[in-house]
Amino acid sequence: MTREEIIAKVNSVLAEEFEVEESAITPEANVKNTLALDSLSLVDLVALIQYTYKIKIPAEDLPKIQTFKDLYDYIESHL
Amino acid sequence: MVDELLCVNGDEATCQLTIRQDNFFIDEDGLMAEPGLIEHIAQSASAFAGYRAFEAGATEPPVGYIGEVKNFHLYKRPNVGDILTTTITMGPEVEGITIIRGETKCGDDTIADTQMKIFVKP
Amino acid sequence: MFLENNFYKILSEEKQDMSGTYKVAILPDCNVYDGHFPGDPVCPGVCNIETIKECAIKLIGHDLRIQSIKQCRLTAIATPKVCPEVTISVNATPKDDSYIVVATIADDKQSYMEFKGTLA
Repeated sequence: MTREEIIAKVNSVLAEEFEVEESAITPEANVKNTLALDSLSLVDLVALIQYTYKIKIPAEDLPKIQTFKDLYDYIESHL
Repeated sequence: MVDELLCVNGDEATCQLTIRQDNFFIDEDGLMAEPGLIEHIAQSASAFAGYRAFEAGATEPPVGYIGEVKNFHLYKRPNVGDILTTTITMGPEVEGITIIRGETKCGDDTIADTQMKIFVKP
Repeated sequence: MFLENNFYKILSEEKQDMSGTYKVAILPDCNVYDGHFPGDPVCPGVCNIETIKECAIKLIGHDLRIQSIKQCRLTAIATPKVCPEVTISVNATPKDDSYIVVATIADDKQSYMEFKGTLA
């Protein structure tokens, strides 16, 4: 899976699940703010990424994922 | 609302409940009300979380609250005396909130299923 | 309607077409608090769901069952002490032979529950 494919898939899957415009998802944007995540929906993000890419995101790795670029990097390095 | 934790297999566990006459959720028509199924599934998940906590050396069972119910479906309301068998699938946990899936059968019939978030008080 | 005058009591009802506002007292002596939790009464989320359903039954005027819940979020912990009185707002939209019910439970301090489900 190329990086472009990862970015395209992440943006569409997140835009649909969290009901935001794909245009709002830019590499430097903050994930929590853009998707309006609170303590209840943060776990949905983890579940969705783990399910979509069949990877595990341990709780201690979460602080590393602030922007969407961090998220793309994380997925790419754990595929 | 849970009699037994029957078996545990990785992220999946099976629990059982025999519905008694004095169950809080028996409605005026003698059948269990829908929220009773939700509470039974939530407590099955808490029993599974409690089992895992004990396995990891905890001494007190964790107190669990329902944080969210999502895509709950009720297919059939059970009767007093029915035996419910519920399968819980434990999903990811983030900051104390765990996603679980639950499916309850009565005999061969699936009578309810749902996704839920349980907040376990540290 | 097994929770009325057991877990809650209706204080006032305002109906307008398919929307209703119910002022509800949370009854501290309900026996659900014997187990949930001993010495620390906390409203079980499922009792708040049943209370919403029973208000919807009053609004629509005939018996209803919860067929499905799309999403129900518990946004704050409700207890007889924290919120002895709450306002339940219920809105019902007919769809085929069921109703899409959207409801909230709140008081002047905060919101405790947001519910969206199908009743029939």
